[in-house]
Amino acid sequence: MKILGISGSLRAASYNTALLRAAAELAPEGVEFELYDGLEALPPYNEDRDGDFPAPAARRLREQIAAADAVLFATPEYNGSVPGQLKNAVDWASRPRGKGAALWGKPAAVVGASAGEYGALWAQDHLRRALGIASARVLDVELPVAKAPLRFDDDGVLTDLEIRDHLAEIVGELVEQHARLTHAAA
Amino acid sequence: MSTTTPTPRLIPAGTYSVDPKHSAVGFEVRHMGIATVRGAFRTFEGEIDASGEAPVLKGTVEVESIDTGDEQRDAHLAAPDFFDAEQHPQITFHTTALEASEDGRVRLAGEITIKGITKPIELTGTAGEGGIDPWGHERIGFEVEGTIDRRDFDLKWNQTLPNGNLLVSNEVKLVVSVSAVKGA
Repeated sequence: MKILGISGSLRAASYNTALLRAAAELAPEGVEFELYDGLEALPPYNEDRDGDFPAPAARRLREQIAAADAVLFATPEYNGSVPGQLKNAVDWASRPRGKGAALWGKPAAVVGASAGEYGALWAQDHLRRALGIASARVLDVELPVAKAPLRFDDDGVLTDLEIRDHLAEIVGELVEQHARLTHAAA
Repeated sequence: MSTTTPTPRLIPAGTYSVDPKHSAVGFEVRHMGIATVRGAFRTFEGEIDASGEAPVLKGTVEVESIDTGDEQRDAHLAAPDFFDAEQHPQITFHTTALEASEDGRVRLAGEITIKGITKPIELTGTAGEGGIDPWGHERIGFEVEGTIDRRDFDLKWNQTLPNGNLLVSNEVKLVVSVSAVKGA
């Protein structure tokens, strides 16, 4: 099974990207975890650049999501919502609408970290909503990592044990969801 | 136990296929508490077996054929947020009682399965006169309505509006009209 991690933060030392690295480390054996690194190069969604020959960066995003069995998103919160570039990735991956969309029926979960008190809770809520409308199979879970500088060490390793457990649970739920779907299909 | 007997005049013995070109499986919801939005499932099939003592209707609807006149909305409706057509591609219905009275009223009691959840449902309405169509086939027909609470079928997606109303009503009216042709 393969999980694609998509971080909504572009910063090299991003807590959200670090959260996904922790998820990769906590993933059970047999789960391949890939980190998407094309967010900054993804152009703004433009229907004129979509269609039979979508922008190459968008095609890569769609292919990576399609090749994954589940997607784990980590989002910071900008002005009470999802960063524009992350929402933009959801918009690309939601089209063409319906069965042809990379996100169609794809198990997805959302986690988030912020330096403040609330751990990007609103952004997680908004992202889950957008993913649902984009046809993903969104898990009803959240992981607000508040006061992020206190939860990671200087090397970006997630050191908070409670959060590590919770994150491992969420990854486990994605694995279970995938197992249920493949079992149902068999 | 119901004592109503099926009326031979309305459903002569035989098996009938629902004619999809002259039948419709529609639904109505209230939007923002102010407007009625209508939709339909375009692909369905059904059969009425009136060969035995009590007639039985069975029907199957393809979820992906949902049509509300808005492609984006239809894609969302077929997605896991709503019907989850990938996991639950069909809605099925069968009657446990199909009653037609002398004055043309029809009552269908049965079970409907949506998103893998089976619940009882009752549809009531009127029967058409029936008869022989221009091609010599015997036809029967009726129009019935019923209401379900979509939350009973795990169709929970919604949004509360600032005034406290719901974006999409939980009550959904089903409106079904059937024209069925007697088989050979």
